[in-house]
Amino acid sequence: MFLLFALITIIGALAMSQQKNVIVAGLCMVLTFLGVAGLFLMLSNPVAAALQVIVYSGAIMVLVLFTIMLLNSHEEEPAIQSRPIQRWVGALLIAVFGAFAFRIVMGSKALVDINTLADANTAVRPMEAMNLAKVGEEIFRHYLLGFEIVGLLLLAAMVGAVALTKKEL
Amino acid sequence: MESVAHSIGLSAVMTWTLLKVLIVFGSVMGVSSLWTWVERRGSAMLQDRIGPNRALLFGRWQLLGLPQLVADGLKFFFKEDQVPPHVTKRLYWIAPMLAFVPALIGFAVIPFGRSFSYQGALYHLSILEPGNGMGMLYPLAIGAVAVYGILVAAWSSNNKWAILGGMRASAQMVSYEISMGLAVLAIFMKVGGYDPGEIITEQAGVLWKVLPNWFIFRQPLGFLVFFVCMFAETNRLPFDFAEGESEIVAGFHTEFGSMKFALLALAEYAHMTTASALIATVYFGGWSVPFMPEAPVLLTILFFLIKLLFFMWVFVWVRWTLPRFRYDQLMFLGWKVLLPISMVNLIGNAWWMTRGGH
Amino acid sequence: MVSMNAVLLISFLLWSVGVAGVLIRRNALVILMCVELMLNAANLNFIAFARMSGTVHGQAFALLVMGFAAAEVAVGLALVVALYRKKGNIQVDEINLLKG
Repeated sequence: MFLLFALITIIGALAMSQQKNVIVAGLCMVLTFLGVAGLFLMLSNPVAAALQVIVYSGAIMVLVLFTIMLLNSHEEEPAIQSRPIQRWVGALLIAVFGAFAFRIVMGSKALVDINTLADANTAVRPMEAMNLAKVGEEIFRHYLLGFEIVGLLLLAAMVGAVALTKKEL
Repeated sequence: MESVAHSIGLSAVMTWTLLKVLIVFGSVMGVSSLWTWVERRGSAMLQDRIGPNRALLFGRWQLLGLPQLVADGLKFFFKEDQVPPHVTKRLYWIAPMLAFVPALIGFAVIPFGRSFSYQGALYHLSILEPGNGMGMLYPLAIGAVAVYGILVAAWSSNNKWAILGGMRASAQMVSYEISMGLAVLAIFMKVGGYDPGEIITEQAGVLWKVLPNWFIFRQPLGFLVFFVCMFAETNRLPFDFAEGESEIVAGFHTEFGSMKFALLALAEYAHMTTASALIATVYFGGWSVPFMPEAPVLLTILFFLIKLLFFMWVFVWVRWTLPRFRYDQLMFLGWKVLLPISMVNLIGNAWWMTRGGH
Repeated sequence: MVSMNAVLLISFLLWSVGVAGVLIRRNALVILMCVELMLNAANLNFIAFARMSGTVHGQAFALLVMGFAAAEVAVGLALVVALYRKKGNIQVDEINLLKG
């Protein structure tokens, strides 16, 4: 199951970044989001999965697709001037950087620690699924400031979006 | 149960789940297709017409026009499956499925009867067992995904009317989902949980000695918001902007024919079934029987069905009573009326609860 | 039991695809989606660490990231629409006003 969702996620992401047609790219993105929601389920976190689907697939991607349809620009236009050297250098740099990051993270002691910790946790008591009550308590007990900041940020974003798109205020 | 499970080579739990899946999806499909008939006869009744009564079973029995259902089904099956040359082929094929599947699986979390124990084992009458951690978030999430069927159908048709319908549908969904979420949030707050089972048990008992303790009486404002949003979510009149026959031909399914169209139409009815079940569960006590705390299992299932069918009838009733809104009226209603009402409802409830009310 | 390494690998791949998309693509909307992809990879990590360490901190933080993503998309889309109004298309190649 885990492998299936992982494959959905990765394939969706790759298809999204390669697709020339923007609407199809958006739909591939939805596939990716659903795959990630599935991964959250595999990590026994149904709350995150549901929220992922509601927020990302339900709100964000619908808005993006709406904008695409509104602007009626379905195809990506070819570059004005192709920059093959930059492109290849970019790809190379990503590969090198990625390989290093990968080696550092996968070989780190912290990863071994957290795996043993997880094993110890499951040995003591069975991992129980996340529920909304726990999340809410955590947010309002420890992350109240963050919560308020996100609220403020959303308000600012809303005002900014209206100010940007409104033709005359 | 055990012996049956053994005979088909599955564990008892698996068999029970499989059985529930078959029952639930079978009934949702059955009710949905039946409701295409109810809609036609009901609209005829409301408009003082006769309605479909020409199709006769074996050329003899009229059966209130029920054979029309079979005739329609056969027609859809055997019609030529035309694919217009200008469509985006792959998406055009996927779109009806994308519309149909979410409409169908949204029902999975709703309990349709009291849990009962048989031979020492406890059986729950909902596909997803209670305590799955998704609870009422699940139908909200599925409802959020449901819009993609319409969007994909609209865009793949490569037709101006269809794209207009898709755009309207997406804007409408995003606008009304917020109010709906806030209305349900007030319920979560009251119940102290978000599992449909918990919501139903919270509604057991009697209110002011005469009324059942349903949330409609305790949160009428929330009910109003939720009810209107359900119409918007199912794309039914007065909110069927995605279709809007008089304005944009047939909206998102202009280019669809034969079985593809049948699936899109059936998806709307399946959606209606799920929406009715949600309304019944959240605001009308689900399977609970009023004034009978220890009702037998079969009676609870019957009551759930009655509530479900009543609300499906309300959907038909409203459709043939109210005219379609204008698009700006829809946005006005969503953002400037329903959203403030649902916020007042939420904050008012929170205030009331901090004052020790219930 | 899902192993941490697998989750990390997937989230890493997801993130790299996002970065590559941002660097390679020219359509502003696709770039926006790629940014979402990267945020999603981060979320995946948060959730996985929350699960493995048996605490709720990561989950709470993932929720905040989702809120942040919503705000980002709102502003991003507004920018795209404004850009479209000004230029008539949404290729980021065209946004070179500072070039003089």
